[in-house]
Amino acid sequence: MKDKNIKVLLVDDEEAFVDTLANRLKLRDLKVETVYDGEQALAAVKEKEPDVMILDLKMPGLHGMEVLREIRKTYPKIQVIILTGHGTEKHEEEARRLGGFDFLKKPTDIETLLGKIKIAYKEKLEKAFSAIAFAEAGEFDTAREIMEEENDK
Amino acid sequence: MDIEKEKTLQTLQMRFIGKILSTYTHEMKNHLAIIKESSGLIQDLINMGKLPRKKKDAGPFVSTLTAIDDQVARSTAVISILNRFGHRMDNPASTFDINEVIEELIVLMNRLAKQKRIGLKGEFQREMPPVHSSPYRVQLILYTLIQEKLGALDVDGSIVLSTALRDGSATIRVYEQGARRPEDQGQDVTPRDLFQYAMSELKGEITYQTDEHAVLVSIPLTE
Repeated sequence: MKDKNIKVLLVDDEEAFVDTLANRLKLRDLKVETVYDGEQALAAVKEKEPDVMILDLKMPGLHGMEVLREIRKTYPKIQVIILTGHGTEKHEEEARRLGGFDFLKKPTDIETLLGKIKIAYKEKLEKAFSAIAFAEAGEFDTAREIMEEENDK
Repeated sequence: MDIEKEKTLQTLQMRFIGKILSTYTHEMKNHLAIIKESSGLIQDLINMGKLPRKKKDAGPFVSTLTAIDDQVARSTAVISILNRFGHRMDNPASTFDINEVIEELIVLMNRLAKQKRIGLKGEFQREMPPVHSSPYRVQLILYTLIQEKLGALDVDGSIVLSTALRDGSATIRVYEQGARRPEDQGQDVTPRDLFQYAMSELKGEITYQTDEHAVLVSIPLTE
């Protein structure tokens, strides 16, 4: 697995934070795009098709939780990691219930974040590969179940 | 003194302080995250041997260091305002500049307004004489009126706090600019009798200009 294949979308209204974090992830060979609110995030996923989204919760306009809900419904293959300064246990529970991959609190360590991104990407690939493998073996029902399970997440 | 009303006001005051604290600890986490990522970026560049050999190549370093400086300045400004806000409660009453107290509240509530994409601004009459009153109770009343309007206004609207000198009192008019959300065309929800009581205890008045969705608060000047 090569890190440079991982496409990440960073979503946060703190522009200085997003831009600096994007630079650090790019130095680690990831493909990174940035947007500064929830509406931009929903528009960007259609065009950029990221593997992993790093999503803030409290932003002007659309709340991060609404963005997560919409992503799980329309683009279920995108892995969403919440990264917020507004991280209560209630928020974490809700994010996980909605299908968020992980929940991190600001300020976080870059290596921790990078590790989570890689695990999220790996899990996404494994799901896709196992569905393909079952399909190639002619076990279409199982392949479909895996895809549907992923879509329901 | 009405004990029940005082208790309710104290509860509202605690909620107000809690809201401001939670908003600004969140803000501070953002500031710290920017500082952490900026210093991390410089460490990354050093570790990767990307140190600039010439001054003309130092642009990214300088801009990252400037970002750290800017964040420290932002954090210092927020902490100073919070500190002043905390000290407003040192005494039940004090002599203060009403414009300063409102300006402080606007800074403290700016993030809440920004989240809803609503503007919050002051129109200050210059050289207002000082008032002798309870600054934290005045802030509580204005905070509640602003919160009510944040819940009612549509995006891109504004809330204005305008000060003036009238009939021996300092007046603050809280009014709206822009449309209300369709689902929020109903009555204002501020506990009016409670605030009438609070203002009468301060020897002032609160007048609801319902047709204009505005409220006028009057506080007597220092004698």
